[in-house]
Amino acid sequence: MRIIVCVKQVPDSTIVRFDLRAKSLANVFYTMDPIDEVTISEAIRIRERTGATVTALTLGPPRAKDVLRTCLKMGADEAMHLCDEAFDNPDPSLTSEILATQIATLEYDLVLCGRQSMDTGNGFVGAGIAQFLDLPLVTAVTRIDIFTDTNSATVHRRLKGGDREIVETPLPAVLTVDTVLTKPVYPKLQTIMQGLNKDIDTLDAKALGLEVNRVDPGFSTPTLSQPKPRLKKTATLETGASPALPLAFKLPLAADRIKLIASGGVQDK
Amino acid sequence: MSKEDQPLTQETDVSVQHPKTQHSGVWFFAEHKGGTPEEGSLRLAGEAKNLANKLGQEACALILGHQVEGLPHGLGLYGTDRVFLVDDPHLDIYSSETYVDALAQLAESHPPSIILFSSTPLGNDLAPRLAAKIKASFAARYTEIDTDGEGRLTVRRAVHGGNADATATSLRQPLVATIDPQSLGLQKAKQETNPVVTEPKVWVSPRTGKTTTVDYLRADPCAVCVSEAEIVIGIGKGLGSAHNLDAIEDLARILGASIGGSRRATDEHWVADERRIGLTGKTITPRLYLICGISGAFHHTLSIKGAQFKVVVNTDEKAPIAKMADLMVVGDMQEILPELARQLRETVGPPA
Ligand SMILES: Cc1cc2nc3c(=O)[nH]c(=O)nc-3n(C[C@H](O)[C@H](O)[C@H](O)COP(=O)(O)OP(=O)(O)OC[C@H]3O[C@@H](n4cnc5c(N)ncnc54)[C@H](O)[C@@H]3O)c2cc1C
Ligand SMILES: Nc1ncnc2c1ncn2[C@@H]1O[C@H](COP(=O)(O)O)[C@@H](O)[C@H]1O
Repeated sequence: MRIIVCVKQVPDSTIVRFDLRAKSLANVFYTMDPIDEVTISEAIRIRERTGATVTALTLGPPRAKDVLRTCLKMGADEAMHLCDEAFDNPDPSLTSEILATQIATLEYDLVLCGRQSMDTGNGFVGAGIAQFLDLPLVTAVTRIDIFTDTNSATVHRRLKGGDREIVETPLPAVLTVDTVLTKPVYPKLQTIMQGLNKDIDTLDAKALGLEVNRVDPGFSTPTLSQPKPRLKKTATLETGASPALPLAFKLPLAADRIKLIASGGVQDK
Repeated sequence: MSKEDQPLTQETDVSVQHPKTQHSGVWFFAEHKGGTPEEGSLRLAGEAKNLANKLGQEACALILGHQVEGLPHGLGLYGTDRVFLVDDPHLDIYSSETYVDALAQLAESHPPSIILFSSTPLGNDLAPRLAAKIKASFAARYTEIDTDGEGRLTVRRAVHGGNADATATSLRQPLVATIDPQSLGLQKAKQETNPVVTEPKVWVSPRTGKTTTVDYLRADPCAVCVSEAEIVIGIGKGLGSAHNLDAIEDLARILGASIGGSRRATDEHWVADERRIGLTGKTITPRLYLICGISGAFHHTLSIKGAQFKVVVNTDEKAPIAKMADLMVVGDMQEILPELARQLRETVGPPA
């Protein structure tokens, strides 16, 4: 088994702010996307069960090397960094094309992506890679069982309300994983130490044989702005005009709303 | 599908037969269940009409399924001009590959300018696949679509966990985009339309797929993890004592709700630790969150922002949680909840 895990460096969304004066992001601390921690951990667990090599792959500027180091410390076998000025600010379709170009040169049985990244969160790149490589794709995966004898996988995918769809896919395949799939692994000190010493391969556009200018992006480079305030809702209070009124008279509004929402009926907010 | 059986277009009138390069029409994918459109689809219909008016184009519904002839009727209220109806037994149950195949054929034979999806589990699966397949531009969970001076589409969306908005110009046609239907009002059109129903010939084959669905697992809505539940009842210190749990469980069964709690409730062992909601617990995104006897400390409210409709039951009208409420019932939960259960029992059965 060879597993490729696509990981992404993102500004920590819990603390980043938009600075009105500078008209750019402030309080930017780059980290590995939390969903990638889930993905890499699942890859390592698959390796424990069935034997595999785990390759972490990222596309990003020089600083993005940090997330590959994190992956190696968590136990990934090898890491590849696609890094070139020509790759600056790619839009999602370009990102998937660049990643897919590299993946196509490798041997692999499984490509794992996050269902949705924390920063731009388009939930596109997995689908883009699958389309580019003409591979089967299963999204929002919450469980993975690999069958090496039949070279296939049975996976669960997340639907509404905790429901699951069970899907069989031949390998190789692209799976995009949901956060509930697994908990991050806690590597042994020895694994961490080994990870610190491993090499990271860096490839530029030339090494990939990719002429980025030839590829039309789907979007112009985005302009960032302050988030638009969402309409503030004002609560409807439901208190009886007189405390003497029995509850049955005070509750109907709440009960009606709850009824509508619970039955999934049409309602206007 | 071989190249020879490219879809034919049948029963279409001239107005939709655009030359290949001319993209026109604001399409929306209408999700439905058992022959009735999902509420989100109706909200989407209104949004599609708005955009269509802005662009001077038609608003078109995409309805895929089996025995769905009745579906288009209600859409006229929301201004839908046209319905593309694909009725086929193989479309009875959603399958990513069959659906995306059908939609790609439609988009190629009648190139639209925009295709909208709700950001539901289905839309999140289908929309990026379609965009990748037909080489469209793709934007997830947009908040605004506009046109710039040159008639190109600009798309605004929240990024970085809602701490910034990003606006970009779409450089391809069509634009495939998803939107959270809860951010849209249910908006009837100024003028009711009488949608033209078109049944385009689309080659539907379940055999084109690479993957196979083998089964479904239905979750028990009362047992499911609060982070995935559609309806959540949250209880806090206001419960008072474990004796009062019976009424909550009763209500949960009627509503098909999963019970979670504040840290106080988990500390008291009224609610299991893995059902704690908040900073040190789960994040929830239900359709309905019934918040009983929880004061609204930020450690808790941080994780409930994604709840679509919040009903607060609290004795204190000024509790911080009131600021987040869509609806608040002021009073003692020990009295209110059993009465609520009684009123709900009459109409809402537990979900099948
Ligand atoms: C590091 C840290 C992490 C934390 N993580 C979490 C977390 O993940 N989740 C979490 O919830 N908390 C968390 N907390 C605790 C949090 O700060 C609050 O203390 C806690 O949420 C309060 O719980 P409560 O609302 O149930 O209780 P209280 O604050 O005591 O509120 C009780 C509410 O019930 C109302 N009430 C009383 N009697 C009735 C009645 N009969 N009927 C109706 N209403 C009634 C009161 O008016 C009041 O509003 C954390 C705290 C820290 C320091
Ligand atoms: N620059 C990148 N490098 C490597 N993987 C990426 C990159 N961007 C996106 N991905 C992968 O695609 C997933 C979905 O990303 P997105 O389409 O941005 O929501 C992420 O969770 C990653 O697994």
